[in-house]
Amino acid sequence: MLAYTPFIDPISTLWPGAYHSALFVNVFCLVWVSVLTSVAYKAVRWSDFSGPLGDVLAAFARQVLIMTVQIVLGVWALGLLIHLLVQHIVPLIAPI
Amino acid sequence: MPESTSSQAPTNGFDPVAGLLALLLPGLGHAIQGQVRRGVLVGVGVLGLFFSGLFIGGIDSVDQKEDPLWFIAQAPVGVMAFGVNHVHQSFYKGTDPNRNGMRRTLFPGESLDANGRIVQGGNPPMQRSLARVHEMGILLTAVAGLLNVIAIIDALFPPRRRPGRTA
Repeated sequence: MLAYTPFIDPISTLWPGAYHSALFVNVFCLVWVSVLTSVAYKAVRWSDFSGPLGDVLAAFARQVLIMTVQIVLGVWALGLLIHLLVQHIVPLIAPI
Repeated sequence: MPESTSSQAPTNGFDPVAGLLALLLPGLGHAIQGQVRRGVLVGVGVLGLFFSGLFIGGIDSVDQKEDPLWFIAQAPVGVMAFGVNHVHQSFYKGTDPNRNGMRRTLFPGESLDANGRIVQGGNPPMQRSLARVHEMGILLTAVAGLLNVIAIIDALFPPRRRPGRTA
């Protein structure tokens, strides 16, 4: 009998080698988690959901996009800062 | 169903029923207050994150016994988190006869018998997620729970909202 792996297998099938791919974690997962975080957060914070559904969703999507870009750029900036700290600044302070 | 407008917006106050419903199912608290669109979007965001975490890290991402601190963050997702944890503990772990009946996740080369005891041979009922994948699964499910805390507080203490602003 084969192992029952309903959650692991789909990703391996859709994207072979995804688990070992830096692109999968650093880009795909980051963007995905940023979008969904923005949707949940803006859903709470957005003030007015009245009016035609299309207009509301378009305005909401704009807010989500802005917040997603802010999160992604913020995380990339933090990554760059940590890279500079670990690869360049720390070796200057404490050379090996 | 009509959405709340500025004149119908929930007043400041305390709504324990909405808070409890938001804790049970993400978005339900807002839906019961008449803010169906807000509730649906909260549900999409929170449950989307939660199930994305399960999709990436597997059911092993939600484990009250082995990752109790993370489960504190995941628990606010409500029925879903407790349900997934229950399924994980009940159907994917087995009783180890060599370790005083302790329940644990199965290793490769082990399987469950009809009584839920771990026996040698066969394949385990699930594949554990490890390292980066496990971390991503736990992270996404925990973020889902923490975001729902914001939604629960918002449903519990409905704020006055001004149209056209992001509060």
